[in-house]
Parts: sequence; C-alpha cells; structure tokens
Amino acid sequence: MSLEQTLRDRLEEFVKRIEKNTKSYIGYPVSKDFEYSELAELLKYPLNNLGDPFVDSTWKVDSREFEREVIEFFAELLRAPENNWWGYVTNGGTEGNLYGLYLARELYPKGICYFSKETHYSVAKNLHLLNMRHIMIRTTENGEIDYDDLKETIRINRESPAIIFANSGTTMTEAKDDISKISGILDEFSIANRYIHSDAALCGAINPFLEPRPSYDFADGADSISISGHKFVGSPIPCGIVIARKDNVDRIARSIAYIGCLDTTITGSRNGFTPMVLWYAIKKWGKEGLAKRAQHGLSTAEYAEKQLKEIGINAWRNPNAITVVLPEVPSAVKEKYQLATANGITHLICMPNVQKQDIDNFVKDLKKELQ
Amino acid sequence: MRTITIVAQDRLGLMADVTELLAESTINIESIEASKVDSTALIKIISDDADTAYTLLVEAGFHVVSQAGLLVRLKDEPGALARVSRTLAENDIDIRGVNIVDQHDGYELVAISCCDSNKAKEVLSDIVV
Repeated sequence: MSLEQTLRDRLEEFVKRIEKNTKSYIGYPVSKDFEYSELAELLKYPLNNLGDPFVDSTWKVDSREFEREVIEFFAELLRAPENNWWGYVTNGGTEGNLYGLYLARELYPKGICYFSKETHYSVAKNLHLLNMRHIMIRTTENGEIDYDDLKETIRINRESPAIIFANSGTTMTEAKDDISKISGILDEFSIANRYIHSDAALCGAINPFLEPRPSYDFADGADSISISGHKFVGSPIPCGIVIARKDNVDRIARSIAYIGCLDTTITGSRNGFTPMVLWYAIKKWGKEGLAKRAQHGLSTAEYAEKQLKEIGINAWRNPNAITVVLPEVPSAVKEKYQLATANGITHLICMPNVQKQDIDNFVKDLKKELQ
Repeated sequence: MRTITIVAQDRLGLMADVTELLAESTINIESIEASKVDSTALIKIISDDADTAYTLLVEAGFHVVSQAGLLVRLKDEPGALARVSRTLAENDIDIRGVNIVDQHDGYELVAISCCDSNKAKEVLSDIVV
C-alpha cells in the first residue's frame, strides 16, 4: 500500500510544518520531550482495549495487561483506597471528566453539580449531555473557587445531594480548588449525599511531588479523578487516565455477551496503543523521574516570572504552579509562541521540555515588540 | 420560531461577525436586535433554526443563552447567586442550570435555566435583563 507522488509530497510538507510548529510553542500544556520509537512496531496491529481493562475479553489483540499496570501506578500516586479503585486509559481529560460526572449522576440523579467559573469549557457540555442540574460558582482573582459563594449556594440548596466538580489546575492560571475545604463546607451543612470529582488534567501527575501537597486526591475526599496523559507525561496521541472508587463503578456496570466483558467505560472500542505509551513513560521514569520533571517545570516557571518582572511585565503565578500569567502580549509574539489568551491575559506553561533558553528567547522577543 | 441571545463584550464588528457566521451556514434570521448592559452587548436572534444557530455560535466561542433560559444581572459578590436560588426555590421554581456568562465593573450576567422561565422572569423581574 503506498500513496501517489503528489500525496507523498503533501505528506512530506506536512511533516516539516508540524516539526517547525512543535519547536516553537510554550503556551500549551503539552509535553514534547518524549521518545517512543521502541513502540513503533505496535502500530502495525489493530490494538483495541474494548471493554473493561480488568476483565478478559474474547478479543485478544489488546494491551490490557499493560493498561492495568498504568492504572495501578496512578492509583497509588493518587492515594486511592486499597482494594476499592478502578480505572481505565481514556481519550483525554474530557472523557475522564464525563465519566466522573456520569458516575455522580447515577449515584445522585437529583444532585446539583457545583463547578467554578474557571472550569474547562467541556464540562458545561458534559453537564448538558448528561442533563444534570448545575450551578456555576464565582472564582477569586487567582482562579480558585470562591468558597464563600460556594458555601452560600450550598446552604440554599442543602436538601439536594451535592456533586462537586473541583479543578486541580485551571486552564488559564493553574489555580487549585482545595477539596478538603470544600468537604468542610459539606460537613458544616451535614450533606451526607455528596460526590467529588477532581479534574487534575495537568496537575494530577505534578501534585504528588509538591510541598505542601495540594488537596485534590482520594485521601483528601475525591471520589474520582481525571488526569491527562498528553499533558505532563507526554504522548503523541491524546489520552488520559480516570480512576474512581470501585464500589461506585460496580453499580453502573452491565454485562455485554458478545465481547464477554462488562460495559463500564464510556466508549466501546478503546485505544490500545496509548496505554503502551503511558506504560513506557512510567517504567522509564518511575516516581523519581516524574518528581524531577515537576521540579524542572517549577524552577523554569520561577525563572520566567523573574525575567518577565525584570523587564517590567506584571507576571505572576499561583503557588507551586508551572503556569506563568501575564497581561495579553502583542499578536506577533502570541503567534510565534502559540500562546493561549483569554480575558486580557496570556500564559506560558513551563512543561518539562521548556528550558531557560526558551524563556530568554521569549522575553527578548516580547521586550522588542513592546518597545 | 425560537429566540437565542448572544452575550458578548461590546466591540466594533461584533454584529457583523455574528451575522456573517450565521449567513455562511444559511441560517435564516427572522429578526435580530441588539442592546447593551454596561459594556456587554446582548444580541437577540429569532430564527426557525435556533438549534443550529446555537451550536454554531457556541462552537465559535460565543456565550449563548437559549429561549429556555433567562439572563439576570447581579452584583459580583459571594452569595449573590445564592439569594437568587433562594428566591426561585421559595416560588417552587426548580433550577436546571446556572452559568456566569459575563463579569465586569462589579457585576455579572448570569444565565439561568429552570422549569418555568415565565414564572422565574416575573419573580426576578427587577434583575432580569
């Protein structure tokens, strides 16, 4: 099987364009320092992890055993309750969030989902898809949920089960909602019927290595957590991990005869290659390697903040964040570095591949444009 | 015919952007009217293809409130929304969804969808936009 020459030329040009665009970005939370060529052989095969990763299927062209190791690694990192966790490798953070909300809805169909204004836009879409009652809560200036507003809103609606959608690393400012504080509010109003989903797309794999450790995981009160695989870990194909308390998952599982498996996941057919990518990454780095990546990101972010302030830019970061926030930059700089901008602010995200030299180049270009 | 309302920061060319976007997909607009609340533009569109218009506009990044929703203007402070929730609850109006669509100058515009929009509009008449 091969393409005709004009199409091959087009493909070759596309590869060059992508290579160039990949070099320049520092505004998106996507790692690019990965090397998975040892897995290339697997691209010849129709790997499909359909069904539940923890139950064997009649389909045998799968990587489920590796997927299970990935989930187990993250369950430990996120302090999941022993013998009461379950998860799978998703297509990305949005699917993981959809899964968490779906579980919440099944448990508490009359519940109200509370989420902050800085929540990722896909959540509103998920809530609409799931037809769930929802109330958006104000945020404070740094992007964290406004606990006073949440408290007052829950006080009014205390007769309804509370479903909390908490962010651990908001899109623009990497703000983190403290789920211990949120649990405290629910305790104050004696709301026993509750569910907390933690959207830790970017920060899920960073938080365990921070001091103090943010309050976002199972030991802090989360019932499900979604992490993105293509952000901090790094993957050529978007993917993620979702982990939930197993007893909640068991309530929604249904048996499907023709695949000899349980229907517990959002999609039927599931990518069998991305679990291999994540498996490779966790085996190559382990916890120590991930910790080093986190420290590198933090140190680069600290450097970036300092360099920007030195040229008079009002740059800031949330505590222990790899995201540096600054006022909206000129279009030329935005384009060159592919910087996301919203509501008058731009940000740099110091992913593990961002080096001090990249920051120096950016600051130099910004200074030149502002003169 | 159904109504949708776009909530956006008022700027030059906003109306043109909206109408061009809808025209590209041959969405028939029965009527379109614009108003302002402080620096926020509200563009009300009546169309027999409001669902498609809604999807197109949301995908293009606009905040859109459907006919089933109402728009209220509140002080941007903790508890403001909670007081609205209480008022609705006291009048047996069940809230489906509450979304902050714009914030500026100490105020926020909030889209509320509930089981009885007409009754909600009456009850919240002093803050409905």
